[in-house]
Amino acid sequence: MERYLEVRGLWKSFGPVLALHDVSFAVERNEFFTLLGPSGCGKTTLLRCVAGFEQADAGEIAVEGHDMRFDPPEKRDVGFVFQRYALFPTMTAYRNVAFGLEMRGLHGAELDRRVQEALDLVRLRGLEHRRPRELSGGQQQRVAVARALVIRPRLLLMDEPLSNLDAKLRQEMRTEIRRIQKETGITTLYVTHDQEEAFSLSDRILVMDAGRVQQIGTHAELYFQPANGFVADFIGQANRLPGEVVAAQVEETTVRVLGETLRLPRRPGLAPGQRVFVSVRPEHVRLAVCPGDSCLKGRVRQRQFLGPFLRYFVDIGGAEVVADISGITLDGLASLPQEGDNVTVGFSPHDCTLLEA
Amino acid sequence: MSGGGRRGWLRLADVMVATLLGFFVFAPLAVLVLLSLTEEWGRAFRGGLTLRWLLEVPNAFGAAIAHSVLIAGVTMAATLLMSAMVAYGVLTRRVHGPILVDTLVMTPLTIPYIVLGLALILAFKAPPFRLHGTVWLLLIGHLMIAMPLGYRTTQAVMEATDLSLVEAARSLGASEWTAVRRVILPLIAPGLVAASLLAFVTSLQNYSLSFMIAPERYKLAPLEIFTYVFAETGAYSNYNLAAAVSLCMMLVLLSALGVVRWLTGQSWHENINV
Amino acid sequence: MDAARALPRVGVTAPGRAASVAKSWIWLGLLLAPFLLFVVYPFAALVKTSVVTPTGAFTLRFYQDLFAIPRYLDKTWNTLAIAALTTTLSLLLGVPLSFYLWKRQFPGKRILVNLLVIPYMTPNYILALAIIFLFGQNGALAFALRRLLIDPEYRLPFNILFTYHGILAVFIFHSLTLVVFLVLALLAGIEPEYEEAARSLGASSLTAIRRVVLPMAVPAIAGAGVLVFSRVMVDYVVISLMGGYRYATLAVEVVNRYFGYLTYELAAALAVFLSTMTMAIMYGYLYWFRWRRRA
Ligand SMILES: Nc1ncnc2c1ncn2[C@@H]1O[C@H](COP(=O)(O)OP(=O)(O)OP(=O)(O)O)[C@@H](O)[C@H]1O
Ligand SMILES: [Mg+2]
Repeated sequence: MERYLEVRGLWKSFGPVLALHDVSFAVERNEFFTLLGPSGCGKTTLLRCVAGFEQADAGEIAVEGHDMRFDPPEKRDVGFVFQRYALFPTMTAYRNVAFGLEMRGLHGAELDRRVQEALDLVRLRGLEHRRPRELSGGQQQRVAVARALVIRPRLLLMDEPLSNLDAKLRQEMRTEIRRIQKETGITTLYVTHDQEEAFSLSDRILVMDAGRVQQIGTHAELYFQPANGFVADFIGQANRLPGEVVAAQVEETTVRVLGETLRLPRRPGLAPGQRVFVSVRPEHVRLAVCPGDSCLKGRVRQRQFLGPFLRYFVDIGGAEVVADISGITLDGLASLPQEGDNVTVGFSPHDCTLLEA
Repeated sequence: MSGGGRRGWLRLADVMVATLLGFFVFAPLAVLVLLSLTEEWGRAFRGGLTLRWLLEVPNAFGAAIAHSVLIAGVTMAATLLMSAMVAYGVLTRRVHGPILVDTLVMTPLTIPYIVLGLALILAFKAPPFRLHGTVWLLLIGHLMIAMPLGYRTTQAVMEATDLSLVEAARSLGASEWTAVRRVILPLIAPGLVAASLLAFVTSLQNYSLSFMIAPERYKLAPLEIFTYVFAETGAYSNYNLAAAVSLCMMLVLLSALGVVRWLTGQSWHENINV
Repeated sequence: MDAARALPRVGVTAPGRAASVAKSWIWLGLLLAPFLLFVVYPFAALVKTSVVTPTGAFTLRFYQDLFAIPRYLDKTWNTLAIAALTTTLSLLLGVPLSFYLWKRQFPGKRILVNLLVIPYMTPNYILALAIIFLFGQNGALAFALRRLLIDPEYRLPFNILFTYHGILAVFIFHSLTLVVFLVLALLAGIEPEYEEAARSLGASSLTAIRRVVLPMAVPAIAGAGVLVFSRVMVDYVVISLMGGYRYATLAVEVVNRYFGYLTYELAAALAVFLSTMTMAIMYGYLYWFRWRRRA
């Protein structure tokens, strides 16, 4: 595993606000790496520290082993795509793209070739002589990407570049960005608070909350093995059932949840008597059929028809469990549990994650 | 280190810029304060602090100040009335600020005061309207230069106000008048008051227009200051007294603008004109 | 859209209701009557005075005089020269100063910038007085030096009164704060992202400002320039207070002709000429601004 960009022990505070709290991670060459987290968690701050717009209070930022903490932004050789694009309003699209090359002393035919190449890459040929305000949001976004890419930076940084676009265009640009990143092979650090966007684009994802790293991993890892309650909640939907460890054996941990005893795969570091959460996703919850040992009794409070699946809200002794039942047919609807029915709720132990309370 | 040297130069530049700004900000006020409080400072100089000059202001300038404040006060009231009319017009959609109206109302702002004064004299020195030499012409002139500011400010305020609030209030059962009074008026009132205070300031400090059209023996504060200045020629040249009255005027202007700023909570400087 | 706005348009809530239309016009009339009567009509009277001989015949003689008699050409030249000089100098000083204030942080900056309100709203004649009190031969500086040098006869090596540089100093003092204010107000609205974008593309801080931020500030700088220029151009009070009749401008000459020589027609012609210039500059700027927006 090659560590291309390495961030180690980064701290940053704005007065009393601690924006980054000991953040460390490494990005591989050619990787598409995403920072995902709720609003205000410090994603932008982290990106701005890497770009050099913000000075971290402590920590190291290195590309290919070269520490660039004290380099000014213009010496760092990173491309930055801003949330609101920050296209220079007094210049045409062409001049915007050419700017970085001019700063590198390029001119004439070479400059023109590189600019055209970049405009081709983002499919903007023919619009190069328009000014930013004469371009649509999506077109502006493409210019911003071309402008950042044309200098062939060592790193491409993007701060929620799609958040200003409408839903349809966002889908389109998502595929575009992934295509461009694949074509150029540029190592990319991408910021978003949209989980779907992060999943569809990234090789790996870093989940942040309140300035701290919560988990780093692939989409599957984040989804199926959330490291803690925050990740479980933030990524997709999860039922969190409060419980208590009864016994911690070699292979499994026995937990008492809502008056029932469940035997779950072992999680190290848990002692009997400890309070825990059992996290299970709605699509893994089954109703009516009791598979055996992990089995709870409840009553359907509400049933919602959502097209591809039915969503049940089941009341189990005061706690609520959400269950998504898919693969339904018109004929099958009637035979499924109705509102007010008593049901048994079950899930496979393998689909559960034990989280410390 | 070169970095350290650069930082040193920047620090020096900071100090120089701060000094320059400080001079700009404080020097005029400071010299006025100093002069108003010094025993004698004209051809000769006698140190020592005194309140004599400031206390003499009401004596020497009483009439002038009263006239200036009266004219400015009437101008302010008229501007408030006009601002309210404009606001009401926009509210009831009688007029959407057509460009002809805008241009016409704004014209006084592009005409030099001296020229406006001359035009008013020439138009009203003979029948049918013989107003030249009366206070009425002075008042009219001041209204013409102050009301455009009120018009413009009011328009800006109305543009920034969401008029669908009226509809929202009416959908909740308020009559049109109640909706305007309870919802719109509190929103725009600070703007309207600010507009009329600007009119007050504009009128109070005006020199050139008053110089042209003020009746002969009608004293006004800005004109009166000058009688006390010309040390070389004036019989009663008195720097101290001139400084004292200037200082008083500055204090009035500053407090008026302070109130404007406080009312609008925004930058006020867009409203001051040529 | 702009063409539509250029036409006088009286809005009516309920389309087709005659009463409403009439009300609109009455309302408009109420608003406009004072301006028609006390601005448009007097201006027409002014123009009329400038093109009619005392016997009542039409003539352009007075305008010909303006362009033929060296005295008036001088005044025009004086006016344009001092306005241009003031504008150039206060922009040259004020624009870099604004950018410096925008970029740098130092203790007391915020307060000082906010207090610029004071010189900004000081009437120009009070500013002129203050400068005379400060730098005149009987001013604070002179007295201080007399004390310091123990020489009661000491005179400053420069004169503020009756000199060109004295007048210029007052104008620049008065204009500089305007420039700084307008430019700073615009800069304050420019997101730091533009500069950051330029820097991430390899521009140094200075280059980023010169190539990216400065062009964005051009309208505000031009606007400040236009305001300064027209403010100086129409000035009467500073020049007469500083005793600069030798450097009389058109506004001063208007007053001279009218009060001094009682030649109304010439005064009127001068006044029309002067206001034509100020209007041309103001509206020229406005149209340039609109055109620039659209282009
Ligand atoms: N210049 C600043 N001054 C003071 N506080 C700041 C500054 N920049 C960021 N912060 C604070 O730091 C924290 C992290 O902000 P940041 O902009 O990095 O969040 P974010 O994850 O990008 O959020 P969003 O998704 O809303 O863009 C926030 O609490 C914010 O208020
Ligand atoms: Mg952000």
